Amino acid sequence: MSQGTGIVRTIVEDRPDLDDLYVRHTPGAVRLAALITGDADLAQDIAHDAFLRSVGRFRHLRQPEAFEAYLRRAVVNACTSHFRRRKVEATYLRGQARMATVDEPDHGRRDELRVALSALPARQRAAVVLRYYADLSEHQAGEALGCSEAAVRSMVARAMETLRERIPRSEDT
Amino acid sequence: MNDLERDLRAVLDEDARRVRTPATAPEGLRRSARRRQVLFGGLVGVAAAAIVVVVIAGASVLLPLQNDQQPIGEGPVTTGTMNGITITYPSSWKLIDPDTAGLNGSPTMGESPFPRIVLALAPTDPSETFGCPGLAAAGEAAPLLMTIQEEPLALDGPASTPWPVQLAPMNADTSEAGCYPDWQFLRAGWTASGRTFEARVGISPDATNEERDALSAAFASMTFESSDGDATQVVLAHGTAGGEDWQLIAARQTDGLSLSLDTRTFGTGSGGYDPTADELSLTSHVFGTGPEAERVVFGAVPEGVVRVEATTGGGPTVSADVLDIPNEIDADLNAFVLVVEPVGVVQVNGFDASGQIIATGSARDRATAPLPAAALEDGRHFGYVRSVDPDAGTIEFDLAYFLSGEEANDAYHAAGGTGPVPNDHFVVNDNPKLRTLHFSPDFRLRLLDWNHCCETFFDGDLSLFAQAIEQQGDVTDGDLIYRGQSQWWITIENGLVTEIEEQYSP
Repeated sequence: MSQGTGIVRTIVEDRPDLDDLYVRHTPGAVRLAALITGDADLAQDIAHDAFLRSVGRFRHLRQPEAFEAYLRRAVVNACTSHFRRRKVEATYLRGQARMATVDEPDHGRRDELRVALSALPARQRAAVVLRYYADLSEHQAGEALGCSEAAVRSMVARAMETLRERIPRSEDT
Repeated sequence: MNDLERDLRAVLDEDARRVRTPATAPEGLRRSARRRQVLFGGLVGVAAAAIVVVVIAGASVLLPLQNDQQPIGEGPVTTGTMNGITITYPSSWKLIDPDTAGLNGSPTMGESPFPRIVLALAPTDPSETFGCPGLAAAGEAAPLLMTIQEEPLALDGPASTPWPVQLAPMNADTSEAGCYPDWQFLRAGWTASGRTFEARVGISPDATNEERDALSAAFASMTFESSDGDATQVVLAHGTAGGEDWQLIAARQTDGLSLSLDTRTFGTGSGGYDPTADELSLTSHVFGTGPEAERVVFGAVPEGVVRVEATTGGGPTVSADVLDIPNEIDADLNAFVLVVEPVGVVQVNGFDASGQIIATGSARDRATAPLPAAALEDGRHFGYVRSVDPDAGTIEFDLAYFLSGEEANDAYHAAGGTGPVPNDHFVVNDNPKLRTLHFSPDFRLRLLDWNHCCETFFDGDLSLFAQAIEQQGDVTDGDLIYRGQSQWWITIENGLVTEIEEQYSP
């Protein structure tokens, strides 16, 4: 190519467009946010906001394939930020009740587990969701949470310990 | 994997499956995303690593359509037309077709054409112009650039200002600092020939005064042709709620009218309105938090409605005239938008010219949305209040059984007691499970007046009650006593706690 000779650079068509990005990544982001916040409506807001923030930076990414990890981190950040407000904690509990009972009520051990999960500190809950739902490695979960692998290990261990303590074996009184 | 981990995975998978996820990007989100695709382009940076050389015969797409010797700044100038915009600029500069340069994403966005960059101007080729000039090698990046973006036709707001307008300083996102280090940004919005535009100009510290002057002159030289067809999107109204600027956009979609509320970072919308329905379909969104929070409610109304009035529980009545939607967008419907209290059910009535209500509708905010299922069934339940969150309007309740008579004796003996149960009652509480329950708006706290024991109650203060529960001790308010270690009867109606009443125990 030589510039100034009437030959023009253009762009190959292998770039993902907005719809592609949205369809490919947003459903997962919504689910992740829903599991961390427990509120499907709030999750949509968070996922959309994270998507907007991420897509706005997208063109600066040296590795476009990193978009998913970038979006995941934005979602986790947004969720934990929301949880700094007590009202959203309440929303989580309300949402968990909703999510737990919308289709098929489950009042057994899993219901207990949902309640216990809801009581975990936000970052511990996010760590648990990233490890046990998203199946991320400790390294990947650390990237999403913005902390070290050791910190992820510690958060998950503390969360599991708390869950074991809080889940009663007996049935309802 | 142990049982807990297995159950944990099962619970999370189960909950994830229940989450409804959108199949396509909502219209408002697309628009917001485009706005956030930063200052000067769409996804071009993604493709920057994959730039290939394509020969365009004669490069006619990017070359000026005619030469013109009219002076603009100094040196030879050229006049070109692109997407109905005619502009005169230095001949050495490039008039860039945004679609060819990839500034508008993909053609699949054609169904929602706005905002869409319709012209770009810079002293360099597209590949050196866009992307990340701050990371380019010295001397390779454009020292300045301008994009013109076409927006939905503004019937209201600053963008409805008629051309000509002046460029004004623009605050860029700080995250742009890496790609546009120390750049100065300018913008302007205007409407001309039935079209609405926004210009964004970026000037690097390396730009010369001559280049700045040439850009200003090029901007001022623009003239505009009318669009080929009717407007398909219009900005009906704009405002601020919860500290965030919003605009209401009406669009003609294949399935009829669509209304969307857009902010810089957020978009929500609805469509499928029935022009014959007398029940209004409302959409609302809360902006801001705490005392700053405000809710924007909008929707479509049948043509006969000229004014709408909204009321929220406890809040003032708010009214507004109906916004006229141009017939080319929708001939049968108009729209309204109101800013109301953030909490509670909002009731909207639509009035005709004679003052009669001819359409009604209501919407809830998320906080007051009904719960599909509560943690405890409706009725009266006995137990212990373990915590109270007045801000969130919730309690944590430990369900127990208050037994009397034979049942109490049996349970007492089963628990190892001998003889008749003391005080003829026995409490069974084998399960420590806590249930989070929400107060209803008309919640009542009935506490025993221990000074006039024991059938006299008073209406308690929730924050003092919360304090007593937290301390697990007594809190006094004058003669009144809040006992943190009492037992309680709670009444649940429609899944919400309507009453907490203290149980007397000797």
